[in-house]
Amino acid sequence: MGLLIFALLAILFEGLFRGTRLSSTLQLRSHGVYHAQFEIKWFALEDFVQENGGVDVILLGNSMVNTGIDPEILGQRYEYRTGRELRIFNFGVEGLTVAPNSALARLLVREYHPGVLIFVTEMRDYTAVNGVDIEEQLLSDEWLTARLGGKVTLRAWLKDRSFLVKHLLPYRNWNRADFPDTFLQNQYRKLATSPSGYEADYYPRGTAWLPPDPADPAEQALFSMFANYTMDPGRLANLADLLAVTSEGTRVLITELPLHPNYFLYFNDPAAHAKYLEELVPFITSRGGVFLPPLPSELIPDSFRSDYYHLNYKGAMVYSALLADQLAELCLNEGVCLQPMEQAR
Amino acid sequence: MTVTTLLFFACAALAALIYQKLPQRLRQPWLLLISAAFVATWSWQFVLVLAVFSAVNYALGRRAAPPDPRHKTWARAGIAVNVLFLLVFKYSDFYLPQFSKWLNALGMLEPGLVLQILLPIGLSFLVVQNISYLLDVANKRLPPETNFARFCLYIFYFPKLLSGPVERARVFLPRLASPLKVDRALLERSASLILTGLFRKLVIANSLFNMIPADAFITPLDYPGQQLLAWLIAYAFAIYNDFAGYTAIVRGVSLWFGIELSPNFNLPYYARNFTEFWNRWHISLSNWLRDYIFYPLAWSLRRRVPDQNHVLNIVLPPMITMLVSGMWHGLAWNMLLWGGLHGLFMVLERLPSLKKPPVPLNKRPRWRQRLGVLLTFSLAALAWVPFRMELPVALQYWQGLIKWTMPDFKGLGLVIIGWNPLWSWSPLGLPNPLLIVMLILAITLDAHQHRAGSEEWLLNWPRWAQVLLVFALLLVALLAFFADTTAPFVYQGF
Repeated sequence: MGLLIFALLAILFEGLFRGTRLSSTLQLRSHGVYHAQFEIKWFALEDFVQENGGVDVILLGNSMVNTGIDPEILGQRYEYRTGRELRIFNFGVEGLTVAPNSALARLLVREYHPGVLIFVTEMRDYTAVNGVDIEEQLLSDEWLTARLGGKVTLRAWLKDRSFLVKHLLPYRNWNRADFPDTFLQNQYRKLATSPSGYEADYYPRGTAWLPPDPADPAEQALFSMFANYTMDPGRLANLADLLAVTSEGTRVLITELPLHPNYFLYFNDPAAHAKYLEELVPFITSRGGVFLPPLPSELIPDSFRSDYYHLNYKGAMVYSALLADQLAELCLNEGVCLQPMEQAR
Repeated sequence: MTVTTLLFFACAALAALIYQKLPQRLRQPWLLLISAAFVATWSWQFVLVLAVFSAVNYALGRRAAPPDPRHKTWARAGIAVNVLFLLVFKYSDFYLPQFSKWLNALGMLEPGLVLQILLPIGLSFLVVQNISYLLDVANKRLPPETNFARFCLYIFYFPKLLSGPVERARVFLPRLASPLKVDRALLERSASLILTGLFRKLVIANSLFNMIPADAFITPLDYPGQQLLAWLIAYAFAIYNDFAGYTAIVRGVSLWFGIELSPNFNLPYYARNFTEFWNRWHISLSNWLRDYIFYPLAWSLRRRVPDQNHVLNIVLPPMITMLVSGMWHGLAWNMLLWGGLHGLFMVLERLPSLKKPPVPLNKRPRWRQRLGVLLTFSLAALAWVPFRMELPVALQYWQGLIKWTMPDFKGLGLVIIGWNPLWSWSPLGLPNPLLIVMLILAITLDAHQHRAGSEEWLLNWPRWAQVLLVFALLLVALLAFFADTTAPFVYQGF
């Protein structure tokens, strides 16, 4: 009897979630992916597309993109400069290097057909040991694997297709020690993420003006990681994969956020960054991508930064406008414009 | 295959249906076949190992029976073989690395390689069962089993294989010979046991285990005493519900075949002293220890030291019995300490009887009984510390238990009035509130069983409440299906 009632209620709720707006009203959804912020962005994009009828430009990258570019400002400024109104979404996710981003790019282009992908990258993306844990964890996720065209398990299928399961999944770890804390934090972050995917960093930290200390044990890992910097061929292959979406009509623009000069002190070679750009730019352009040179770091004051890499909300406001200007110049001068999704199809 | 999976229940139900349809003479061979198949789901090699184990014990049992003049010698040899079997498999970590080094040096094993032995499932449980069989045969309490297949079934019978209950051959074999009639009443009993067991395991035990941070038992001094205390109480209830849940499930499944398995738990945290605790906790093993270690030792001592109040008679039997219990759980110092502490508690509660005859527990004033429950639970919980962790960490845990820090009540107040968002409970120095909820649930469940006076209390519930319980269990099972990790039965490791 209990089994029967359970089955009937399951069918009832599945129908309710499918047939009404209850699913999007109840904000708590999950595909069971371990990376909580990825899921926040994934569902925010779903809602964004539902609300706006599509997405023209998707910003891809790591936490620097997440907190560094406000699509609202970027879109308004770009429209002001070029007269083009675009629907822009920030899909920057913490800890994602070029490797998972290349898989994500393929998925997002297939699902949403954006006109443009703007991938924000930097030197750490091409260090083989950087971000490996998150990459393995995310790319081995059964739901994402199935969504990317890999093996489809029963669990993955249910996680993907069942509305009821999607609404139960946020509670799947209900009895874990860290559940109340992670649950609360995820809800907080979800609320702090704008409908266009931007998460402002309001927390004053600002230690960017202090150079990294080689004697500090916490810094030594970074010093050793960047001591003899070379671009990993595997990561470059990932970048090539990401650029391959141009074949589906989506334009790929690649740029770098203005990093704090102290960041480059980790590298033994003062010319490391220039050498990196010398190798990166032809790699991108030869594969149909467009590279936007990084803006001078002086444009962002120290107090507008959280650390060497991240911008706080003030920095994000400034940089979003500057990036819009840079993109507008590209459009007006060279005819390479941000295009709506219809042009990608 | 673990016993909380849907696959296990589906396979067991199918096997039981076929069992009921088979003629009587084919039922035991069928049970043996499905039990061997169950073992093979872990590893097919285990089937071979257990078959050899059964054959050896079967042969030894035949020789250990009177009137063979050397039957006692054969029985002792049998015990030695079983203990050796346990040592070879279970404690291979102690000798294999050194043995591998010798083989490496002799060039018989590739450099750097270490030999490994697969530990057969449920070995510790099987060894004590076989020892009791050999001793019972040698002491004429039981005729030796003459049917090898039936003896194999005693060893292999799948519901009791992984973690008991420890069944005596003299109890189990007659039940096998004349199983209960599987009717509606028996199936209701079975459902009641399985549902209670699943609730204890899936809802209470798994949750409590999961709510204890992994490093609480590695670096306990990183946490304030009040949190360590909450986690210790949670662990005490988790391990109890884990094992009691497991036993209830396998007892319920065994009833599908009409075979009654012995109960293993009877509200142990209601025990008023440690003697009672061991009559309520892991009852089948406790009875085994009592009958094959405690009594023989006590009788042997009384023959040499007739004064029953002599210190040797007071101290040695409980202490040695509990040390053996500790060693059975694991050949490690922390397990010995766990057993030693229980032995010590039992010795201490026997001391007052030196001066005046003990008052039976039920005749003591109510307040003394309640105080006894509290004291016994507290000491048993403290003894779980070395059971759970290595000795140096256990000492740190005990030390940490007395180092309380003031919880951040101000922070909590600001959260309650809505001034601050609740980011996390941890910095407040308070235990996870869900853990408290689960503890209340665990205590309520036991209180309910205590009032009902039966493990099958669910049968007395109204139908709607039973349906609600099934519903809750299905929901929890569904969440567990999607959860990132699941917890295995703790006693499966023994």
